[in-house]
Amino acid sequence: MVGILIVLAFVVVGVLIGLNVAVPYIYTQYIAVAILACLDSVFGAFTANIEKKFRMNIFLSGFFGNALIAIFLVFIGNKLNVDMYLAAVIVFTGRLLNNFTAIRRNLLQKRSNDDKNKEIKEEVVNSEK
Amino acid sequence: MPKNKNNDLTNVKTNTENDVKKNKTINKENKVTENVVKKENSKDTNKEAKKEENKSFFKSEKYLKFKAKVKNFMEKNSVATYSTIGITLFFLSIILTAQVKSISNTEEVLQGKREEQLANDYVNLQREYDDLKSKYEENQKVVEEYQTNAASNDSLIASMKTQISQLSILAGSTDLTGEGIIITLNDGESVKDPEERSDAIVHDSDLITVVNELKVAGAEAISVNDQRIISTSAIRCVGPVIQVNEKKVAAPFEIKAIGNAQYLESAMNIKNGVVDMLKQYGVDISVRREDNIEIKKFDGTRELKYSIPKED
Repeated sequence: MVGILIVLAFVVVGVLIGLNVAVPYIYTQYIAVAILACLDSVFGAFTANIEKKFRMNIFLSGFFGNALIAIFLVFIGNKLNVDMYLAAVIVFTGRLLNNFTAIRRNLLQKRSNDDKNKEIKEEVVNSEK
Repeated sequence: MPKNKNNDLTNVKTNTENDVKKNKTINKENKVTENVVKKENSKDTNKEAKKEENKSFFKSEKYLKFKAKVKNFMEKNSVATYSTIGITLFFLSIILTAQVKSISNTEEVLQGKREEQLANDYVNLQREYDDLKSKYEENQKVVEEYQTNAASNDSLIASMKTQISQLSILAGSTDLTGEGIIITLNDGESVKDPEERSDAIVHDSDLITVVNELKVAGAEAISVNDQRIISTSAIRCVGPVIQVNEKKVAAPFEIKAIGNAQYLESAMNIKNGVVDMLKQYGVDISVRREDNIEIKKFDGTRELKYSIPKED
């Protein structure tokens, strides 16, 4: 509960600051790709957390590293006149969707497992009776 | 001083609890001895006392308890983990909102255009801007000229106003009053044979003749049954009635004319003139002078599609 409150406070402050920050139009492309990379990291973290494989250092390095590399790729793409951001968009969106899938699968799996356990328990109780 | 130092040193040495602390105090004491040799002993001791107080606060049970509590709280709720996640999300939300805001702020025209295109547009707009600016400057000069010649312009405007009013009278775009004559024409009663074209009926040609005669006599404004006669007016027979200005009018006709009433009347009543002729045909015609005739303005539409004023 406290953790969620802390995270929410950070997000609210971030939104308030972001409302007062203007991104020049030339850089919006880079920022968009960076946002995708960050979102990918966040959802990756969710997935890892559900699978009990979450590690803070991996999350942090992925969050900032991915964003920087994505920005760098787009920059190089602009220099080479290749729409490299498309590649970044496709990759990150694909990973986002994969993460969603993993989260969904895990949640559904958990639910069905719980149901099964309940049934087993009931059966055991019934047989004992 | 050296005695004091030795004392302290020995004190510290006896204190075998914390090596790090010991080193620190030694360092501090060394510094004190090096830098503040000339300072008085009382000041030195004051400082020492303060430090002791601080130490005692950090060592005090209250503080330690509080510290332990905080530590416990932090560990229990994993504040550090959530804070790091919060910081990352903080950055994410900053760039997300900034991006969304700046994208929604930029005009739609800009979206989806490539840089080169935008650069071209920019150059074109710049050129246009330059052109307009030079034009603006030219016009500014003209305005200045006008302003410097304000006095002469006033007289010009006055003359233009009088010109406009005269032209609007000629064009028939204003109601008019003035002295003049009213001519009434009505069909004569000598209609015996319907198949024969009767001269006693008022024909369009009769009206045209009257109007033409009035113009010759110097009428300034003419109307037929309140239809103002202007430069494009036409009088024409349409079946049993007569069309004036695309409006159908029927007998009795009332032709009003503003001008020198005496001239107009005499021009009408001249021997073998219009009135005389029409009377001979059997048309019921009468002319009367009036001091105050009202002539209404032209109420039709006048759209010029083909004639363009030739510019010098």
